[in-house]
Amino acid sequence: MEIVIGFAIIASIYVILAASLNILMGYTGIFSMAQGAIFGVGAYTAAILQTQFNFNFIFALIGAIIVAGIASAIMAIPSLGVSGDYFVVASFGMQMLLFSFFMNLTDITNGSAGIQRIPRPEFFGFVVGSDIAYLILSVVLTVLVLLFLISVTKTGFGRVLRAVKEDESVVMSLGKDPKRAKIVATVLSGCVAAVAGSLYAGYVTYVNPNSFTVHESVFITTLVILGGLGSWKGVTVGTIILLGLPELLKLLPISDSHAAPIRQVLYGLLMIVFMIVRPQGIFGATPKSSIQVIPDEKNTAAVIGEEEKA
Amino acid sequence: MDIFWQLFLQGVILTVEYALIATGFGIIFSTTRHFHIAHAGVFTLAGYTLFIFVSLLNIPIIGSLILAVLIAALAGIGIYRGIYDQVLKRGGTMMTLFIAALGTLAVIENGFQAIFSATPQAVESESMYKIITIFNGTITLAQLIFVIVGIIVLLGLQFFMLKTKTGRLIRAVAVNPYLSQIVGISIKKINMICYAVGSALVAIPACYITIDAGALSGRGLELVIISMMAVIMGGIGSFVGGWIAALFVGMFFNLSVLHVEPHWQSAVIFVIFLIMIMVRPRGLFGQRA
Repeated sequence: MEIVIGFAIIASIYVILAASLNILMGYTGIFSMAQGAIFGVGAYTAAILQTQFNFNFIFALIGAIIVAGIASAIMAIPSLGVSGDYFVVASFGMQMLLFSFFMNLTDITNGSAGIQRIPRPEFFGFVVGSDIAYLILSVVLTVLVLLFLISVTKTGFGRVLRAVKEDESVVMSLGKDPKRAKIVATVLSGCVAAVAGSLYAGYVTYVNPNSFTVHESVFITTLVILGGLGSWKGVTVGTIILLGLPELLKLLPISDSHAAPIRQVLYGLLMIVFMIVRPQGIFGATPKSSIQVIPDEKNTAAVIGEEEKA
Repeated sequence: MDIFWQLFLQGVILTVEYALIATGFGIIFSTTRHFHIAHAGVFTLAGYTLFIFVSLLNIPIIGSLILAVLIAALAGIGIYRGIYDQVLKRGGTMMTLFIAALGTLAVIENGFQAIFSATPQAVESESMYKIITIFNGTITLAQLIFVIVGIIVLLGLQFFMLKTKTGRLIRAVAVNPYLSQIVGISIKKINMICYAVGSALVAIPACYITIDAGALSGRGLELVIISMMAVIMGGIGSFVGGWIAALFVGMFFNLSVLHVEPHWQSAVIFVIFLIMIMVRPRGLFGQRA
């Protein structure tokens, strides 16, 4: 039973992470490779505020959200004005930089040893000590995050984000600023990842740099993509399925040192196969194929027309 | 002064590493627009291939090096035709292609780690570690050969791109793939050449690092990402721009050792990259962003 509760807590943390990236990748079409590190910024900030400054969980959570938002803005503002490719490189750079901070800012992060004895959250004198109580807290936060993000996508801002993904020039012609929308989406995504980070720090009561590597970023990306970009069902059900999958590997006689890379190979293969056979993921909507049926010559001619005009 | 000279020599080696990786990524990216992150996977593959040939199959080192570069080139073509092309054929976007590339990277990196564990696999070759003194600095024979071969390859490639017909075709496709197709250039063929050349280029530093420090999964990714920054800072499509950026990065990593703590060096490079794309997004010599 304990194993099931533990799995459920971890699953809810990853559902939040997948949801944070869904806003960015699924809705806005921006590809970030730094989500693992931003998750780490949230976890570290919450941990430090609680252990060294005696903040309670709520204020530590708010602090984590602010710091992660700032970190996201730093990589988003310079690169998103140019192109998505630049942002991918910038986010990779951010991932490297933040990992280096976790490792080397020893005065603050305690280096590779990490931060220990992070207290469990406390609300009005009630300590969320037992795992079952922590599960309830995690699920409540997860539901709040999901409801918040889904409602954001239903606002005018959400529609702008989707329009940015389809065609930026249309967004501009309507007098909206696509660059600003993209930066806001990136910051929002970072803030949500910090919620997951704070929950993670409170649950394992210990953070160290190895939890927030580039592999973690790739893993969170995998969850969103295989679940289905832009699909909230994919974010929730898909994440739980994909987290459960490696548990099955444990039934096979594979040593622990082999299990981790083999799990990654498995996810990698799934990613390749899905991108070829079913790019929309498990739960993603089937793209409307009717738009695609434009004869090639016409398309080429149109492109050349554009080139000539330019 | 001796320390400075020694650091300068190390800087030259690192510069050639970055220049080769950046040029390889640059030729693929500027021509195909594919964000080929699995370039880092080809790096890992080439390194382990060399280890397998030399240490497990006992093939002489020269033969192993040539084979490793050839296999890397074939792997590049294989990734393009077997994975990216399949994704694009079914209406995939550049984003789906990038995801597939990420999957490819994960499979290669973790596949080798599952087989060879997370410890570096060194190639034992005594003759390669012979110390050579240049003025007051020392480098190994492997490093000297690497730098010379690297520079010859880079200059040869520049000649190939500027003076040969194939080179001109590649540049034509990079500038305007649609028009190129209309005048009868086979885009697929040009793309395959770019993948082969780019992958062969990344195999050279991969082999050198395997001899110098051992093959290890994940070693290539940071090198490739910093090289991508060099490509962007130098200007996409400009080899010389990429080399100048690589020179700057390679020298910075070594010459700043006396002033900047090593773990802050990547941070400084990253900040310079961010400033650069804000101030001049098309890079030093880029035609357009």
